[in-house]
Amino acid sequence: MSIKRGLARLAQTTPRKLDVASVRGALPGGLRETEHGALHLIDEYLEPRHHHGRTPIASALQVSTERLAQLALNPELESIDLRRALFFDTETTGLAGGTGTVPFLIGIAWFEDESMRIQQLFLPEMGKEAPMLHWLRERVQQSSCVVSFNGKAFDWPLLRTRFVLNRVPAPSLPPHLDLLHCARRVLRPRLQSVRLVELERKVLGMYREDDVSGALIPQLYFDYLDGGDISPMAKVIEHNANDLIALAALVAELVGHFDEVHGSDDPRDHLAYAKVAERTGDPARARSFAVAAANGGGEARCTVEACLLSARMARRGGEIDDEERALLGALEAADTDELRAGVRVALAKFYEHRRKDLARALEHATGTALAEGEAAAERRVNRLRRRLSS
Amino acid sequence: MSTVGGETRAARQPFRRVDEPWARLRGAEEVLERWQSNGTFRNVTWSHRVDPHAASFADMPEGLAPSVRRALHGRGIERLYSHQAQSFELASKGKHVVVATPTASGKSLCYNLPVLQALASDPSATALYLFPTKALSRDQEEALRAFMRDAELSIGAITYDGDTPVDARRAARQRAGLLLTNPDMLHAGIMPHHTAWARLFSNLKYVVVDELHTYRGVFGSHLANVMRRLLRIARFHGSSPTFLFASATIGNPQAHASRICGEPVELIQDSGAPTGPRQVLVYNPPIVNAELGIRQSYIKTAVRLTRDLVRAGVPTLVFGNSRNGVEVMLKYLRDRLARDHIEPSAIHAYRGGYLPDTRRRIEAALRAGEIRCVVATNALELGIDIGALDAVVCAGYPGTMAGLWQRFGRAGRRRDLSLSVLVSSSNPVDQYVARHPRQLVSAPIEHARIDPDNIEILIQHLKCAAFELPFEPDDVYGDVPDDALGEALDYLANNGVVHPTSTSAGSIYHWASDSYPANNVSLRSASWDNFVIIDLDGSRTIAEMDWRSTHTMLHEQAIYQHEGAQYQVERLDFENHKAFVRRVDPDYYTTAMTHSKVNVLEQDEHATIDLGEVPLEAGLGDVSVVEKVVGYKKIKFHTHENVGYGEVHLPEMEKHTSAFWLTFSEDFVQSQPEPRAIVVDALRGLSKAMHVVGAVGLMIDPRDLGRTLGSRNEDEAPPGKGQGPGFDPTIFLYDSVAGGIGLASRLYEEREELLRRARHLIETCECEEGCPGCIGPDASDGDEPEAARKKLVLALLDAVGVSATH
Repeated sequence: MSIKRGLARLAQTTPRKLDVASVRGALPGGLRETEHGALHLIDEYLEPRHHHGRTPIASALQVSTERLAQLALNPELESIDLRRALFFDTETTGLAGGTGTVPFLIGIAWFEDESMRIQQLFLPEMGKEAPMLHWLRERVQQSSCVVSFNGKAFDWPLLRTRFVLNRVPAPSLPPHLDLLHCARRVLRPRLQSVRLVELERKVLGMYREDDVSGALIPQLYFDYLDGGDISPMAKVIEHNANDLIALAALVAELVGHFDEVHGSDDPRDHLAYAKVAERTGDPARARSFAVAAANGGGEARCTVEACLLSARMARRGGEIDDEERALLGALEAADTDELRAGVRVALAKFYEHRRKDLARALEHATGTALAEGEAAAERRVNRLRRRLSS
Repeated sequence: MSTVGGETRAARQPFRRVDEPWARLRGAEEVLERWQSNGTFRNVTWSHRVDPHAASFADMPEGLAPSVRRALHGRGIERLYSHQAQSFELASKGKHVVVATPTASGKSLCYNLPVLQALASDPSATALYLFPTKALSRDQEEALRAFMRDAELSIGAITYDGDTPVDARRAARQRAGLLLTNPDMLHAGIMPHHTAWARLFSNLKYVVVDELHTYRGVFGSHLANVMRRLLRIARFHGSSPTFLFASATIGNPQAHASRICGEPVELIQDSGAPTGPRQVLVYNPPIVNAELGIRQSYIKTAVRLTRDLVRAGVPTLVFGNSRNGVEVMLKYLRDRLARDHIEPSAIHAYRGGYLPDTRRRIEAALRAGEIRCVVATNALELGIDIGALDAVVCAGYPGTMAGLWQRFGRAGRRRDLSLSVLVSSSNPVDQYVARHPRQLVSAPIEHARIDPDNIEILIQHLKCAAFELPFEPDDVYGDVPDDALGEALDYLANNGVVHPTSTSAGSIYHWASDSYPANNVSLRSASWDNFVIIDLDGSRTIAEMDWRSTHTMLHEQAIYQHEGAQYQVERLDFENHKAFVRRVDPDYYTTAMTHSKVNVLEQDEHATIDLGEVPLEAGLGDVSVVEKVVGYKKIKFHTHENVGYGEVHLPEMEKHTSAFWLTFSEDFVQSQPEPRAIVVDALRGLSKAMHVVGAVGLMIDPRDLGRTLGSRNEDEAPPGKGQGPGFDPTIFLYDSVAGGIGLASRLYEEREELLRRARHLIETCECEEGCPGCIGPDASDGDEPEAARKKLVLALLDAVGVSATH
């Protein structure tokens, strides 16, 4: 079978694509000449008081960069200038990644005074990526950090590929704050899903109307390329702008609530913040969030975990009475044998090593098997008995 | 040395206690003497001594980097074999090279030396090694790392495949100077992300393709396209690599290598490595039923011969042609050798379906000598280094001479005698070989055939290529002509997977689909599409199987054999590619019965064969082939009698391919004195003979050629029967590979010669009424045909004027 014959055969069996009716209007934004070619740019400012849901987005500028660095587990972010933070998000021709997935809309945003400036770089036809990439490159180079949602795993590797393919030198990336990871750290225990749309609803109180579904976006772009109606593409552009705004609002909320204890927050959030603080060597903050979590009236498991964390922090500070109080608080909160066993391990250790009160240690050691296993529990009990009798 | 002595010694000294593994210097000679004296040789149709071959050396090349020279010195290598030196010299000049020398002739040094030289002189240079299997990459990785360490090269050699951990993957992308992988991973895991591999591609100096002979048919056609894509990507990154191929013996190594990489390639095929003498035997089991031409079981015969060898302490490798065959032989060998106090664990199976862990365990036990006999399908052809073996027994002809010599090549020492035995089955091609054994050394060896332009394969890879880089107006894709490439891209554009953008120079085609095309393209049937086989007792995966085999091997109620144990398939989940099996202990195994039907889609060529009183219509064109498993037979172990049937309900498999056909008119059939059914059965017999001589004539694996007897016009043939009155019986011989790789058109061109050779085969066959070696045994299942089938076939050929040429 020759190639041409084979093609004819294949063409018989596969339906031809239907022509899309050509009803076009004008996309928002317009062409701007750059030294690397024409760029379709949508450029706008938001009001200084713009709210996303209930969050004024300019409050993102007020957050503590120390907290931000802690939350991101990245010390590089500690002294960054938030006024030069670049928020970015892309809309792509697919989720597969690799060289054949094209970001056809690159949204970038930053603050100018209290206003957010949003620029969206749109690819009006395939192959005209160079002006977009140069524009992005310059913006990235001026920034103190970049902020994204899942950009570390998805958007940035994709963009790096585009730089290589289009032979545009990729900018070296400043510190990268990926809010997906922060959100996971803080909100996973409370929210089942930390997808952006869930966070918007449950954290920012924002419900989008008439939003396009992300899954449809690649096809909408292909339809646009084939000469279809432009109004769906206008919606995609709006969707992307909203994602950028949501990034700023999330920074404000996630970091703001870490700066000081908000009594009305969920104890699970407090506990999660306490853990981040513990992990980043901030025992005082860890303790105050742990105390808030313990007193938050949450589920027993959360309270117990918070008390134990609080006890660990007290020990660090050498506050033995506080440590004891926290541990006993944990025991009181524990409502299952398994939880109690875990607490009793901590108590047995506490009385044996800290208080040197072997009798009370033994009292607790008799109920630890569920947490540390029969064998370890037996060894502990035997040791304590031996020491008591000697 | 007496035979008895050999047996006594074996009995006194259980093998598991032998410290020096497989070390019996005169074992093979002894067994040979014994076979000569005990009558075994009566059934040997050919005994051929391949003479030893002395070494031919060459000096170390002058330009060789001192550190590489030192590394060789450390390995005791002071001179090279002539072919190794030749390869170094050509590669250094930037010529593409294919080395086609026998197994164990030191082929890997032929490519490793130029590569190491390149790395030693340019630390930024990179090389890509392709092996057909993961196991081979791992083997080579170990050896290469040691070699590179000794050559003081700090550049890493990293295997990148499905088993590579995430951390090592990053290291591979960023640092590997030498990347070892397989074509599938290159195709789906590396090239679609080539920007992440910029370091590798922009410095790519060599592409090494080992085991070139395995890339034939569909797999080879895919590989050629993968290479077209690779070269496009290399060009984008500014490199132009030199190809180094290594191949086992095939008829056309140079042309084949050149077809794979799309450029002229230099051939090296004179080996400078020494080989010891080899005794080749072709053993044709005696006839037990002369009427039906049925011979003693070749499986049992192979088991008996292997038992003689293993008892005499000869490390032996047994090859079967099917998984079933391997498992049956394994069971028999373990049973029989237990009587000689040889532990069952000393005899092991080795096959592709095993999971990687199992395979590695077996390879290690082989090297350690704990295993003394291995029963394998073709997995070991791939050159995994398992140490010195003294004998190879092939149960059944592997389908090609090249394949047979590759199997024989697994045994062989530098000095001592090795033994290679082919036990022929009743299969027609086996019988042809057993009766014309001299062809094994005198006839030209098979060509590896591929068709990179096979439309189904080409289109799939064009999608992948468009995903990797947009097609520019002046883009080159292998040797596909510009206009055909343009049409193919327009076809893709019409189907909405690429988007054309007009420019003054022509159209640019960008990938425009929310998908990752490489994931939908499997380079071989045995990869992503595998079915997993799950043991219901214990819920563990025990093996995987290529989906094409599932219809015949994993239908419900089938007995699946694995590591000598039997499992029954309880459920086949076709959608999720899972088969659920349970351990059973039956006294039978199953074999599937298939039915295939051909429907002509388009006739390209047509001719009348007008040799005698009745003309014949011959045609060539595109057909659709529908294959369906209709049922299975239960075959009793040991006696091999048929003890029952069962039905199978599985979806049909359809493919489009090229076919050659030969139509006998209904009038001609009616004009015969015999009843219609008998005439049609005779024509079916003729088709079998044509299939045999066709496969032998084209020097191909018979499985690459499909055969059926049906109607020229589908509507007239009752489905599943093809014997009703009123249709013109038509013999179809078709390319088994979808899209075809050009076999049918060769048959069409040689149609008259094909008929003459078929006649010659039938006339010279010693059977009375048809046997598997010519027109096949009578398949009428009880309805005794009245006429003598063979005579009838010859009479039909007389009527159409076909007389033998020989």
